Amino acid sequence: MGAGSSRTLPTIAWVLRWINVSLKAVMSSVPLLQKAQNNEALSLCSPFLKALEVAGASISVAGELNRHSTICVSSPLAARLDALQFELGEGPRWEALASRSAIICPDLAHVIQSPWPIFLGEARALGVRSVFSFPMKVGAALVGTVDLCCTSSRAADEKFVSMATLMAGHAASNAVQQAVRSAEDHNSLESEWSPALRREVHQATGILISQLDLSATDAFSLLQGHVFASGKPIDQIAHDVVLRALVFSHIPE
Amino acid sequence: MTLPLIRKLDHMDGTSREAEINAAFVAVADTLTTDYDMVDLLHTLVQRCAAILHMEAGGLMLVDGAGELQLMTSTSEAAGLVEVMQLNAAAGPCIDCFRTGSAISVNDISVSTSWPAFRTAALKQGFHSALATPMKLRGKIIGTMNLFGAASAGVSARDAAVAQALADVATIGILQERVIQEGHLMEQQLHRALDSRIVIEQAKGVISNGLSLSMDDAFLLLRKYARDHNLTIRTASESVSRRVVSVQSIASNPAKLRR
Repeated sequence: MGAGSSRTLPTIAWVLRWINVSLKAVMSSVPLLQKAQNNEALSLCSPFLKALEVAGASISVAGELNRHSTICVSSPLAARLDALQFELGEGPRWEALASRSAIICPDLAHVIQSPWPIFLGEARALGVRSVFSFPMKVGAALVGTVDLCCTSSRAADEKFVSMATLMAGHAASNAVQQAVRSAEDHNSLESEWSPALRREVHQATGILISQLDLSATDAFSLLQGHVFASGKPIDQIAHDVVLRALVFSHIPE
Repeated sequence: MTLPLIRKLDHMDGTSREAEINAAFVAVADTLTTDYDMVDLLHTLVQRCAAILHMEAGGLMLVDGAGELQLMTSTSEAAGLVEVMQLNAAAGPCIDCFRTGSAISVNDISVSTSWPAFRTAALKQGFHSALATPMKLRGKIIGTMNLFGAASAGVSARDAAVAQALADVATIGILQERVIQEGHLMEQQLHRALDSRIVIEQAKGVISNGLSLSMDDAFLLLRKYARDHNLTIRTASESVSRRVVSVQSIASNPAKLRR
């Protein structure tokens, strides 16, 4: 199977098609997600759901060169939003990391211009109405973000923001420890509930390096491009590459 | 006890004194918001505190990991000498302050009898009064802030309170700096772990594709190559991922092949 012309920016048609396919992918993965529930990782997310009355939460840490590792996701919806930000390389998390400050979007319906237009469209299509991203800091170091979402508009008053900021700070060191432990384990079991580093994505990157004689950066871009073109989640594409069910026989122009 | 003229004058001008104290706190609050040099902060604090209390010089001692006091900073060489002398002799007002956790004021060093060696050294450097203020963190004494005056003079309760407040601020500064350092260490550890894992997975992919192996077998081969060449798995993985080393040389590893 060829990869299609995928390294240019996505067109509107692609995006629309992709939204459609992504939705289906989410719906079909729901039972799987429920089965694979990981209680230990989930426990870091759950205080946010209870204290802040949000529909979903995900916690991820960030390495250098935009390498994110997801510690926990609280629901299939939170999992999809997490995956989207990983695939697209844009979203409230990226903005929070770049600005080192909280990103507050209480009502996506009223957003006209956004630094993350594709994520915005995707989130709306998934029925998400509000998103928040709070930086996790240890001292002066920024180690990741806590991302929250609601399916209705959610007023973010001072109490909500200060509570979430405080809780994100408290979660930071625990999240880093879990990420380091998981990354250092050669046999770490990743699941939809703790996707961690998405090892298959990096294995697939290695396969493309070998098949097409590319640099790691270009190989990863190629995977990302295929996400845009096919509308499939990156985890699924990576899985197919690793199984050799999907072979990139040439570099698309 | 008679206060020297300089102290009386000082109390007549309460407003500028308040302003000086406030300025000291503001200076510290500003530095605490971002990355800062702790020694520089402590030096500034001691300097300002000495100025506010009209003392000649000052220094700050902190306890190290082994539980020993160390001189962190001093505003003059003379003050530094007197501090180091106390550390060496394990005797002096600053040492007693550290042991008891209470502030110790020496109004006239020339008539003090408790620490003969300290008295000699201090007088030689031109100091006639001293004030040692404890630095406490959750009930533990972590150091002392010490001020030395050129004239013999008592310390008012108000001055002692100002010194204690500034010593507390110094303690917060130290605590904050430790948190910041901890954050940097944690960040480095995180980046190292994530980057290593990513490049290892990439290398597994390269080997798996180049030699038609499973990911598990690719990893075993990678690990063997790293061991045989005395490399970390990460370093070996980087060579593979950047195609500096070919998969063929990973596979054929003559001479050193062992089961």
